[in-house]
Amino acid sequence: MTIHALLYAAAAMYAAAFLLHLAGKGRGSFAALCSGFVVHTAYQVTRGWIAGIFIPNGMFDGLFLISWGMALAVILSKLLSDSEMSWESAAAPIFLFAVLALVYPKGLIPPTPNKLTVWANIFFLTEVTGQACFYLAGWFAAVGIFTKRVTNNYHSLIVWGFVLYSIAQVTGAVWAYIGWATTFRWGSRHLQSAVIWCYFAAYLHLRFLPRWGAREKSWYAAAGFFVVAFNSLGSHLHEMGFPRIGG
Amino acid sequence: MKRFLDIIGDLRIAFWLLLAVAVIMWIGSLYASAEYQLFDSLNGVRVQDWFSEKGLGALSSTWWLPALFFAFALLGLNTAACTLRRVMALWPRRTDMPAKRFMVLLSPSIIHLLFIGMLSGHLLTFTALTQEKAPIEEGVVLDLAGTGEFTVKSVKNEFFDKGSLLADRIRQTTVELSFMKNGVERTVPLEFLHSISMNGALLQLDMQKRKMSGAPITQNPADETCNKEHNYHYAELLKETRPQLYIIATRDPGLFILIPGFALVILVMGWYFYQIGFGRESKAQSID
Repeated sequence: MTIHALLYAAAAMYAAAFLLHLAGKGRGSFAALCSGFVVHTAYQVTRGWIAGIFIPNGMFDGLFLISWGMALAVILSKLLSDSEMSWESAAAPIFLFAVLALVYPKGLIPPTPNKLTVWANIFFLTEVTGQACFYLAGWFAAVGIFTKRVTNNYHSLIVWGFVLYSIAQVTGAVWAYIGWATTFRWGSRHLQSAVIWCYFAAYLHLRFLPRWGAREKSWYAAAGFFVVAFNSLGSHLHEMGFPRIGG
Repeated sequence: MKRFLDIIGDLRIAFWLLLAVAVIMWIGSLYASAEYQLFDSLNGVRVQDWFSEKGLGALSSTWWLPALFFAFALLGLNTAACTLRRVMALWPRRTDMPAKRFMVLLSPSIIHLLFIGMLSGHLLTFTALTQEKAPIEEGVVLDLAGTGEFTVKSVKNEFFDKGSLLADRIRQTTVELSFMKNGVERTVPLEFLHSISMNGALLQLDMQKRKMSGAPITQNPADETCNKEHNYHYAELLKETRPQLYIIATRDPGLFILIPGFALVILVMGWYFYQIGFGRESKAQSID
């Protein structure tokens, strides 16, 4: 059995969480989601030793971290929020991203000297968890639109996502500065990262615009799901072709 | 004056300008992917020099750059006007409320001022940067970006442990540089991620993979990921095929605004969102 069995187990628990949610078993669904998260956390930690020595970069590999970040955000929202919203419905996109991780090359991209810094780790952790919050906000906004129960329960997810994503912009810039003497590079990766930041910075201004009602804001947040996907999944797909070790 | 600020500081304009910037950058990212080598050559040079030398000749691919700078200029103007308008409305009320409440209300304005600082820092970097890059090996004498003469005395590679799957791959490189100061020879180590300052210029290590023959490998235009990962791919980083090392010397006046600005903006933003409960109490913060 390889360590990747943990990822399969986590994905199965996320699937179970969604099925239990559909069956109206809210507590069972949440328990399955929490179990999936615990197993997934064990998997992410184990990835740190995937090269035979401890290299933290493996723990923060983007596509493996998205569903983990989404599960964490849902669990915290459920525990800390006063909202009666059905947070467990998010098991569907969490499972979707876990499936993407299952088919993704699982080895470690051998780190170059410029990647062996805590700034890189903080950057990937905050970038991916920020994206996870944006995805979830998009999901809940879409659920509200299609169930005709529009709320702004997703708003705090966008705020959290924006804070995390802003930290990612800063830590990424610091990393680029200590690694390459520049805080920004003219390339698709940096430009698309800035696209996501600007899109949600614009969202934060919507509450001051009276013509944007709850429904319009929900559509904007739901569209954010695709904005994040179009501007981030490309680099993950591109990295599929990279040589890896330990997979 | 107030009427003028109301018009150019309108939040509707801010919203649409942010979206316009996002759309222009998204279009730009497509061009940057399709014509990687053209846009990669913009890194490390002043944007105005690059645009007159290369950009004007490829306007069908580079038109979005002036559009982006124009949109950012408008956004900076709009943000400045909006911030000024808010501070003018808030300041007379500073004694009517507890100091902490006043600071919470003032925080978005501080964040916006820092945002303008960030825009200015980036503009300074893009227009006033000086960067020179040279290949190095033991014994080579260089003078980059006004550093004065220095000699590469030694190059030592540190490899990952033998027992790991990363065995024989480079973990760190230490380059010893020597230079004369007040008639005395001094030696300083230079490593990846540990830059040094020499006569006001920042010196850093960089490297690029090369073939067994020793010639650097031309980058695949489509081969881009975070930062410059493409420059040193993995299979080549073995002892037998050591990558070509470079020293980059940079003078960037924008960094003096950007680096402290980054720290400040995160601190103020984190404090502000913490105070308003990360969106749960967002409605309470309007001063209108």
